[in-house]
Amino acid sequence: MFIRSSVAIVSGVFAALAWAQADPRGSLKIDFGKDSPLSMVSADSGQSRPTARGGAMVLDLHTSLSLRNSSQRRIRGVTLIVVAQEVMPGGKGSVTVPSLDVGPGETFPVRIDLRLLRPVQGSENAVVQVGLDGVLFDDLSFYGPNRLESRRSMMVWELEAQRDRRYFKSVLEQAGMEGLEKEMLASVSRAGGSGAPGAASGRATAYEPEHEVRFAFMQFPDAPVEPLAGMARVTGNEARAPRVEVHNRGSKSVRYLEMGWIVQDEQGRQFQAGSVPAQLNLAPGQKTQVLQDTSMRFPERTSIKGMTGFVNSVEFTDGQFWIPTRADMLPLKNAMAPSPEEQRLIQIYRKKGPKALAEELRKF
Amino acid sequence: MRHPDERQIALYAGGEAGWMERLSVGRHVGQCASCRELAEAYLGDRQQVRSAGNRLPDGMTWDRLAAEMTGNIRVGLAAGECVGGPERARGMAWRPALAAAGVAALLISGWYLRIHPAATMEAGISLESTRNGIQVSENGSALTLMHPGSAMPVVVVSTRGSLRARYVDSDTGQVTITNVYSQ
Repeated sequence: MFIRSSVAIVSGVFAALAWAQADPRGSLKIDFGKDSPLSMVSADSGQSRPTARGGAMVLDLHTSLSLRNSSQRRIRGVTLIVVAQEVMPGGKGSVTVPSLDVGPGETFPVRIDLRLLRPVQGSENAVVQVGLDGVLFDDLSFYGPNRLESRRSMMVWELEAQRDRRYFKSVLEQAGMEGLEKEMLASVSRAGGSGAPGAASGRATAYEPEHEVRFAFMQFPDAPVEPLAGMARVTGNEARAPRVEVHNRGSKSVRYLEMGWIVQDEQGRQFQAGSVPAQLNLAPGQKTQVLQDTSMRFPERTSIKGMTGFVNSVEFTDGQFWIPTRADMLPLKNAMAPSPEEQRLIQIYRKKGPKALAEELRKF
Repeated sequence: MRHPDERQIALYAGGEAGWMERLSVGRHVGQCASCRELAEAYLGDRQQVRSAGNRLPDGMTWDRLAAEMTGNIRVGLAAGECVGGPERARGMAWRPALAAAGVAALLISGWYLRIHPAATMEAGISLESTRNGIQVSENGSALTLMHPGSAMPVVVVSTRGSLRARYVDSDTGQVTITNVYSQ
């Protein structure tokens, strides 16, 4: 053990020296493809530093990219794919910036802050590759390989953005600045209190006896898909194998469905814990069961008492989307985080005040 | 003819047999072609291992290794002086101090590696939300997409094998959404 430890330490020191001598920019390879609508203006990797930690090496990459819209359309969202093949062959990451409004020739920043950890005995070659997964334009056209299905995610966020801007504009028109401020203060109070901090996904680890917990469903009157019944196996702070039966009550075939999943703990707190996406081919009038063989684990102090499901988005086979209205989501407002666009508008209100927010809303 | 066993031939080839055994095995190897071949094979293996052991990993030089070790020994000696009692006979004091520093360094290193086993003990791909970001880990390696310390991210798990964090970058005012995927 001691000999192995000593060898590990000596190796760690030398690996750290080798990594430290490497140009930090050499650890990052950025390639957006030949005919990309994005071009890179600059990449600042000044803060990168490798360190040895026990039997592992840690490399922090703090990179700020400046990108230019080299297309003729306005950009609404960008997703970059981040891969470290030598360190993590089975996993990958992505960084998305939605709610953009970048005109032709304009530049915008994207920050990539990542940490790589690998055993000392692993590959010396820890190159992080950053590529383009997709760009969404203002006419909702899309460019990119879409390996992470970012088109769908960015479409939903853009539709939510349009919905929320319409709402706040109508508030401004009907209730003036005072009404807008009141709405913003309500949004601010919800902005920091949702999501599932400390959540994990992977193999089930709890060994307590598990039981089935049924979903309570939030029904939206104009949703094309209706959830009928559902349950998940729950053990303390762990939920696994969700199963939901859904019915297409609309007139169009459904290609994809995403169910939102809200968890209620013993203290009565509710938080948006997860989503249950499903690739379907559901004709009008048909029913099907969505099954996911996966588990979600929350912090140990969380004890799951109840679960609520709702239809979060639907993609039809013709490429059109459905999302719930703000009125639909009203009963869930305490559990759900504001949309990305609402978060952005809150930030403008906080930093620059109501006048700047009103100006921002009038741009669209 | 009674052949010596493999252990005896290996010891003979390595020059580690006792003088009696060396004489008897040497006499036999001189007469027996198959045992001579085996002894030569052991000798060849030994030379290969020795030459492989003499090669240093790329980027490593003896000068740097020596400087590192000297530095570590000096730090150990200095630490020993800080915690040691009154100085005794000057000529003898460095030996126990050096030994103690070496043992202490190994103990601390062993303890440190034992309490940080995550890098080598995990198996399979898992996703996790940590204080600093969201992480995908596999066989002791991990990729973490970090969020700024001041951000209050909304973290959502997707049952199709991804973990998402959403926050507002206070520098740019932009909403940033990071994802890690296990597939």
